[in-house]
Amino acid sequence: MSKPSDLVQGTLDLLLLKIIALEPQHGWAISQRLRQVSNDELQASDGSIYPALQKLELAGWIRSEWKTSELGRRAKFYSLTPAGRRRLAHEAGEWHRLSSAISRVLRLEEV
Amino acid sequence: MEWRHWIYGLRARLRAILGMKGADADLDDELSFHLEMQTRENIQRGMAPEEAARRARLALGGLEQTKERTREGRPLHALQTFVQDVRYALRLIRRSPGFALVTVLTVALGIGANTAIFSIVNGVLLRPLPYADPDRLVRFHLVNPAQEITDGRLSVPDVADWRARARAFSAMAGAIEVPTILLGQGDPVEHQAGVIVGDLFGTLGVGARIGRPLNDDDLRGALRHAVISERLWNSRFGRDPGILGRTIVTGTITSTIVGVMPHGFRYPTSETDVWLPESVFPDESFGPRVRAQRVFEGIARLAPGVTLDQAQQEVNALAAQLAAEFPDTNKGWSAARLVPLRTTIVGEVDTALLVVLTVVGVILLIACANLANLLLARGTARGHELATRVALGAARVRIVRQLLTESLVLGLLGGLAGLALAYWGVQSLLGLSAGTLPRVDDVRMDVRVIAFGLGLAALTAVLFGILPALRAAQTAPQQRMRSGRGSVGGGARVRNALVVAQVALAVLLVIGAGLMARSFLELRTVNPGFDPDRVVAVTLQLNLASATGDIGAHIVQRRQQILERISALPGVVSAGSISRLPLDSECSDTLVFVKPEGSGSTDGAPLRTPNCIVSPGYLRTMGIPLLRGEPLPESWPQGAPYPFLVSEAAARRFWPGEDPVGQIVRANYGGRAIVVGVVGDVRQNGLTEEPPPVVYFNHRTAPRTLTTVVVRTSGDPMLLAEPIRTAVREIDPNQPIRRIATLGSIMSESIARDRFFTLLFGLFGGLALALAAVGVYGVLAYSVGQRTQEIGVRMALGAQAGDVLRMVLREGMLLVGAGVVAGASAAVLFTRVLQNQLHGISTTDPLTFAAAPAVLLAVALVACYLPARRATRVEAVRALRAD
Repeated sequence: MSKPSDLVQGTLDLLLLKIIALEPQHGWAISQRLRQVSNDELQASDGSIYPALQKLELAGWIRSEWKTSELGRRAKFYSLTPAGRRRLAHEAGEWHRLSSAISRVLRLEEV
Repeated sequence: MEWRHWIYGLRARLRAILGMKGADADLDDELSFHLEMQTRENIQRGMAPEEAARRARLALGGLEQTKERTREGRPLHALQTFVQDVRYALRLIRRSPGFALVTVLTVALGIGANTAIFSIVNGVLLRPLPYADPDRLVRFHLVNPAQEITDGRLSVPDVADWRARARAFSAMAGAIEVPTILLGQGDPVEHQAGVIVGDLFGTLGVGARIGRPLNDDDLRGALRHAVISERLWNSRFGRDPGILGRTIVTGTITSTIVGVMPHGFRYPTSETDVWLPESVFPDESFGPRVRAQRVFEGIARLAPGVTLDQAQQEVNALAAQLAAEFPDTNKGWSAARLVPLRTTIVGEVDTALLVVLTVVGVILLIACANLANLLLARGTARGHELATRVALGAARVRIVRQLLTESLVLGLLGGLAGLALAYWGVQSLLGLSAGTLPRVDDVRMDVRVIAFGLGLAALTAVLFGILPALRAAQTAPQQRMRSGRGSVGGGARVRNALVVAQVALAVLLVIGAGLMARSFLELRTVNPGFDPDRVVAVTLQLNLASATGDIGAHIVQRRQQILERISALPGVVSAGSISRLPLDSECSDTLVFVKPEGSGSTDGAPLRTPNCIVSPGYLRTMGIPLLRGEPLPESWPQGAPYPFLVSEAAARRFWPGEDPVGQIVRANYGGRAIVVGVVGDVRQNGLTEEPPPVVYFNHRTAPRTLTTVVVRTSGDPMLLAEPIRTAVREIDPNQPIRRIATLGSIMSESIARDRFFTLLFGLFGGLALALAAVGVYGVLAYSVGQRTQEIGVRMALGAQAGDVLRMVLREGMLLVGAGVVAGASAAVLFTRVLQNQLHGISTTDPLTFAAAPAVLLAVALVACYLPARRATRVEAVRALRAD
């Protein structure tokens, strides 16, 4: 079973929060979305989102409820809690700061 | 963290913890929904349904793996897994009760033996002595280098000197145990009195249970105060709450009781029942209170902050100073020796007990080897199950953890059974030890012992479980599943190594047991120097309460009277008396003498030798041979030199190359004494010690109140016990008898400790042998079982039963042989620790080193033969069909 690389592991939480923030989703849809948005760059198996989702739920950033899906089948839908929303804003801010810092450093090297 | 945020998480957490089943069902539904959706998608992309489902599972990364990883993320997951593993383990135990029983019993034997011995070690060696800060207490010995005395005692003025001068001590005292006869309140009974000088109770730091201990005012003696033991308060005074102020009569002394000591307070010995200040005794009891009269055993408490070394330096300096100050009495006593009190109490047994503790530890190792082999074999048999679980997604760590949990459950069950075994075992062991161990009252199953037993059981479980668990989890699942029940090649090597190791350890223990047994047999055949057959010994402490006038004359007369009455009893061949019976203790007296000028090697320095005070009939009754000269006469002319006998060892020591008979010496009491004869050596100080040089003086020269009458009889000596009691009672109704026993039983009692340790070693050596035999049998039987097919092929190809038998035997005996060689080599190194326990044989006794391996080889041969014979019964056709 392939595990997400370390970098992905750190950012997987952020990506999941972001995807769920767009609209409440069930696990499979989240995994499809994740694959889509990352252009299959993430070397993670579909299954790796479930421990991550559980972690986010235990932390109180997302919550889940069973609802009927578009195909009439019951599915577990995840939605963001207010705390999750704040968390997302915070994490995203951190990420921007970090990535722009890295970009600056890389540009510096090119000079 | 905001409260709402916390609440959301809490809901999920609670559900994860409380609704385990719900959470699992949730996860199952969620994941199957995922797979369904993915499969649909795959089919829409044009895949065949089966391929679509397979791809979906692949993309998920394995259904079970995903579940497992998700579960791992839940709170209390580790605990849940553990509970689950324990349940699984219990289920397995129910499924294979035979295996579980063998395991639990093996662990129980190992843990039982270890816990039993540990609880004895705990009570005897580890529990603190019942005094305040016992580590600060030291025995105090005066040392006289010239006379080679290293355990000298103290006189009354000595104790006063040391108390006044030694700044290294915060308190100091001297004590001696004196037999005394309690009169009043019922029958006269002999009890031991602790006669003390100095601040004994302050030194030990122990208060009274009722009233108070003796203090310095009491010690001045004018008040005649006494303190009694709880035991005496119980037996003699019926736990009278108004005990304080009552009187106690010890011999000729009446004292007022001012205190009762707490239970378990025992100093100077465990027999002491009443404590009296030295000053209440008349002068002659312990000789004049002068510096030279040294009878008290010194004890001191180190002052705060003073180390043993510092104290040792100070007392040496002080001893030298006192020797210079009082040349008449202290010349030569130029040093002192401090020994921690604990060492003096348990010093003799600690090596022996620690060796036994090591022995039971080794037995546990052998048991571990057996269990590890059992589990390895089982691991192979369970290979299929485990491989399936790995294939289904169980992580290897998970498998190892589960197998270890199984071992742990078995180990702890064994541990509990072991504790029960130990509880019973300790009682039996203490019964066997028959008073040969100090402090047995302190032996009990306390928290420390129980923690030791269970902790050791857990450790054992990990020890025997880890290797099989790792091996079981290592193997690739495909290989296991393909080969079905099949064997795993490398396992055999591990199993063989374990067998060699356990055989080696067993050989080591059997050799140890053999050495102890040989030594004990040697001890039994040692010639004590007398003939114990049909001799009964009657020990009594003469009652002086009715004495009037000259006490010395009273003692001589009373003893003569008792001797005559006993001699006249029917069935008595002869009788005699001695101050201290051989094997019981050293001679009561010491003769200090100088040889006259010109008689060989004399430089005028006084010579010292133990002096036994006997009646002339003693030597004849004991059958101690007269080698030269005349026997001890009953009487001798007034003013003539005192006649005395010397033992052969004394003759050799003091008159080397000369005939001592007729030699006249000047003795310490100022008079002259003449050697009238030489008698055979006697092991006075115990069977394990060489006979010391001894001289015998007629009892008229030194009246001693403690006396043992030896009686040689024509029939069963114990038949005389009652007539002897009656005779003594008729002479003095207040005269108690301390002991009536045959010399044979006294001899046997004197080596009770050796017997006890020999028994322990024998017991544990046998246990080791049995465990190793089971181990050899188990591994070989398993190997034969695994090779049924191979053996079948061989037999189909024409191998005879004999060939197969030889092949299997060779396989087994090669392992055993390697173990025996390793064990015997190790024994050469390790039996040295037994040095002090062995008498009359060397630690590398060739007979033992030949016999023990032979016994082991013989037992192992039987253990190998059983599976080998089964191998010969393999029917070729059926074996080939098997599997």
